[in-house]
Amino acid sequence: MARRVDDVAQFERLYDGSDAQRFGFTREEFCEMLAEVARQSPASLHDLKLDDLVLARACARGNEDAWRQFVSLYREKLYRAAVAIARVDSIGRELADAFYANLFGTRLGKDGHRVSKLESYLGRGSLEGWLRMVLAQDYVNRFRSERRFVGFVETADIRSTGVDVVPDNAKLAEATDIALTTLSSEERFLLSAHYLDGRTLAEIGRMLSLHESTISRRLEKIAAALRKKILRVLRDAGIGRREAEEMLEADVRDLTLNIRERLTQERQGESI
Amino acid sequence: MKGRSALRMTKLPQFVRSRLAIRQTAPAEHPDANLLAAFAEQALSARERASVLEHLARCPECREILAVGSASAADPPKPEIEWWKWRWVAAAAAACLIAALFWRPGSFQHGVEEGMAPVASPPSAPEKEKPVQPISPVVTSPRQFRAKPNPPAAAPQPALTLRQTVNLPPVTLNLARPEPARVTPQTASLEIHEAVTDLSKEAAPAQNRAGAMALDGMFQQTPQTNLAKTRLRQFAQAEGEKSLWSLDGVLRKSDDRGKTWRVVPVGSGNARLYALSAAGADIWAGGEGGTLFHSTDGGLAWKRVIVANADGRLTDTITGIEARDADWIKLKTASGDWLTTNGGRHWQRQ
Repeated sequence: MARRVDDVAQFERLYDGSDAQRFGFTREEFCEMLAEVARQSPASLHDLKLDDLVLARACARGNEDAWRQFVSLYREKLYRAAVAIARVDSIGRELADAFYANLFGTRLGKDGHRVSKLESYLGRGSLEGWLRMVLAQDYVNRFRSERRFVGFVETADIRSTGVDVVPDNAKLAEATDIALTTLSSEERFLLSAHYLDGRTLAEIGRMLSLHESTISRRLEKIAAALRKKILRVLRDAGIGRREAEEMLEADVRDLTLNIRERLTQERQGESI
Repeated sequence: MKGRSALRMTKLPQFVRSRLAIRQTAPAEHPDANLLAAFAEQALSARERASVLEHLARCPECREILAVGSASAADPPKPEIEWWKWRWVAAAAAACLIAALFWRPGSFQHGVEEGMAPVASPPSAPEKEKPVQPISPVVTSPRQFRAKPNPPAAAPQPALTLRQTVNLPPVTLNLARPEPARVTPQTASLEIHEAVTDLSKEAAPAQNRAGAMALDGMFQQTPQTNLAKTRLRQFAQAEGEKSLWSLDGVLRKSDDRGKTWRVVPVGSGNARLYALSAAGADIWAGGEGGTLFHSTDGGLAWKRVIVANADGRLTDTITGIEARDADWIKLKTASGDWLTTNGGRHWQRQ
């Protein structure tokens, strides 16, 4: 009984400490909201952003006070974020307006009430961070759907990462696969983001909340370690050191011919 | 390609990039905006972060969303100051401090020429000694430059169980702060493709296209390659183990980093195995007729797992396995996916 009283006391503190009462949530409704979040997301209550969660759910219910607070806190931030994402002012504003409509809820549910996107916010990260991610998802999905209508050849060009999947030397491929298997998820993520997606060091830094110099150092380390591992596997497979190093260096797809430079040199040679 | 930072980068050889690109197979389930936002804000537990990172390492779409969402944030992260680089500055500062503590002005005598009587220097007015200012070191402690302070430890709190308050099934709300979990590196299975020269014999029938696509899950049909189907050879490595596992119909093990391989008979040895995945010390291998084997000790011992639910038993060939941790495993077959979230005790058809 004493334990139950303590549990209830903690719950009361959570309820009183949040804006739940201000936005019209009863204790039962507050409890139901927390239980729903707990079912969907295995996080400790202490790790939840309760204020943001209550605000989002209050807006989803159509509470006007909550909407006024939401607009005052996030309206300008969302427009700036949308313009930053779209990089064109008009497209950014259009993206933000469509996003706002989604948040407000233009669709009616089975019981006739508006279905707001804010109902899916679970309080794991900040509401601002969640809004940015949903905005990013909308933008990426919209851009991807527009790209689908491009012709096949153009689509292939857009999708191409510049990486040729023609099979490599079998031993080299196997050695590379073994070496890649030993990398951690973060290391493979860094390599994929930088070398496949073409993300800059600063962009990757923002994704991982690290400075670009840290990303640079890590990528250098990973590339060096990968090279060492591949060499070791090749040597273990009976390939001599020199041959193994030549295999690593001799991929003709790595040769980049600077056409302009060569043409300039040729013209200079002709004029002399 | 987007514009690059001014920092120079080691170039990654093309063959490494091509092998990395082959691994880009996005699982069907993607982290939602809640998880991505919490990931970007470093608000996930170590285990969740590892799981999201593993997904991001394979899913270009989610990486794009994370990049676009993070780019719209206001403040870029601050640089980490590597305190060990300041060791020379610290040493120089310490030397200056010691010198300053022991040095006094006017402590040198005038030089005396040979044969000459020392010149008596006139008594000088006593100088007012200046107080020695200690030189404050540039770095007092590496800790002060950490970007993020360590979160204060809180006393564990009991879980709150709600039963009678509302008419809901009992749900335990965990108020206790979770123990910081060690990040166990997820070693996912690696699937590579070997080109099959005679494609006509192995072309997938139209009705089995779903199975063929599952089998070629990571394969991108680009005009350059023009391959219709490939045969899988897979690698996996269990956490903490040096042994490598590979699968090409039969399960093989290497204890010398892939130099030599030996066949590991699993079960009766009759069924061909096509899918392999490792998560922590758990390894799963599956293949013909719904055959599925599981090892919890990095491959030392194996047991057969029957995949079934109330609707029936899995008899299709398992063409892919995704193991996220010891409990969450998804099997891919021609007729659909099977999922377990409790380590194989119960299976749901998807």
